[in-house]
Amino acid sequence: MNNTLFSIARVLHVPILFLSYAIFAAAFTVGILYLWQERQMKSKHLAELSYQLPSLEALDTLISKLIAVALPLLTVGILLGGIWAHRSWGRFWSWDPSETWALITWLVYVAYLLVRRGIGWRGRKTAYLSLAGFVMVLITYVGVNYFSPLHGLLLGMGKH
Amino acid sequence: MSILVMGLNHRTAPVDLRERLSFSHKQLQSLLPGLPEELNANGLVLLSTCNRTELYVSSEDLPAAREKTLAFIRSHANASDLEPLLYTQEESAAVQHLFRVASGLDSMVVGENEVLAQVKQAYHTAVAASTADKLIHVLFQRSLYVGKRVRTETGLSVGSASVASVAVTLAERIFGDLHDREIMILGAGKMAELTAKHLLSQKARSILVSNRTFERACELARQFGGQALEFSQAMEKMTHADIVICSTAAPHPIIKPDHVSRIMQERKGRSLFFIDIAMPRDVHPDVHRIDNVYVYNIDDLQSIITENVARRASEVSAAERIIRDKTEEFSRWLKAFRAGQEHSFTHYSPAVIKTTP
Repeated sequence: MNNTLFSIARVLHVPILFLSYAIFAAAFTVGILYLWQERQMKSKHLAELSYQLPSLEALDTLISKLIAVALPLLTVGILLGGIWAHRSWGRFWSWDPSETWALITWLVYVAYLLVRRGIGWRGRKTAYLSLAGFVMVLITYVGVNYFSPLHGLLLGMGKH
Repeated sequence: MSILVMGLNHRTAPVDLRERLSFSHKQLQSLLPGLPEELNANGLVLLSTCNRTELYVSSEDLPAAREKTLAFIRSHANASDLEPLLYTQEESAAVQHLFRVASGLDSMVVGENEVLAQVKQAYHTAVAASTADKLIHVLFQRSLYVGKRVRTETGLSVGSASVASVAVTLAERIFGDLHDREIMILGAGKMAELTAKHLLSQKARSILVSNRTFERACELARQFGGQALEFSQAMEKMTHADIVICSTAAPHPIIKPDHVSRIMQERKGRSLFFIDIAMPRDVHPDVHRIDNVYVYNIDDLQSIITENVARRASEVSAAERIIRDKTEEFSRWLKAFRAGQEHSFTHYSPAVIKTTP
């Protein structure tokens, strides 16, 4: 394996993943706002605050755009992790809990983009899917720190 | 130089009396020029709207002006026991009254915006008829400023208070900018027409009109620059529309859940907003349960109006505070004006008035 690629992977693996998590967190927040406002429109009682928010369609589009930016970052982050792992542990993928959950996270967001842009689902259902994706992000993160034999840095189990 | 207001409004007088005392713009144009002399006034404005008729009179001799103004109203009112239906305010009370009127505090729907335009119109009519003296000029320009300021600094005019404007607000909650949105009108009633007008004023793109009688649909479509449809085509075309205003006279719901579900599939989930002002309703209640479909009927719109009106009521005290401040400020100006030491108002409120050392 190329040395330069390895050092790039080592430097960028964590920051790129964190950047994608941050954008997923933003998408999660917008998703909550969307669902709150959607509920108000369905219940036909609008709180004063909801007049200050962007419209339902604007929020829905924003979620989709944020995810469309964060998903490639997540993908690159995972691939860089594989490159690093190949050098340090001898294989690209070890089914370590954090790896498994990262894959699940990735699948949820891929599913989001597929149903939103492909099938044409909109609104409440896709907003829930974006929330589910972020729950996966949190599990991955917790998995990293507490349960992963390879990535469990907090428990001092991390192996480089 | 003193100021007085005499008049009646929706709280003090019945509608038939208000009708007799209402003056059209044309009538005012011919009536006003001779009026100052008749009322012993230096300047005057006659404000006539559907809810009020008021005379603002500036005069050197207030008791005489009061007598003559009352005589003028009596001659037009044609009513026996008139005085209990009238109110008269003088000096700072008159100033405060005008500020409250301009702010919409004295309106039937508190905080409504139209009255500010009406005050402006009455002032311009007086200026055109040369019945505005210095005091009237300053007072009315000040009242327009106070009316605007109350609306921007308090929530008095927040939230819509008519069916058409609530419908627009809701459409904006769903779609955001209404620019380029397509509107469909089913059943061409007066209310539907008004609502469509409001939506089009927000630059909604095109309009499709469908009615049981095709001629009426054509007529409306021509008026809005839209397209008329046969009733049977309307259901198909609904895949393109974003906002559907329903007001047909159909005895049963004509828009059913299974139909809308099918449309939503073709629309790829884009939101669809039904404004159902028909009685009985045109849209089956279950349609509202479909994802990304919102159905608001006349009762729903009405209850939002009620909420908005209640919200406005809680802003009244803040508005009254501004008006009190501005009235005091004006009284100081008037005092200085009488003493011949006039100073001009600064727009962004002199909370602290500079004194020359």
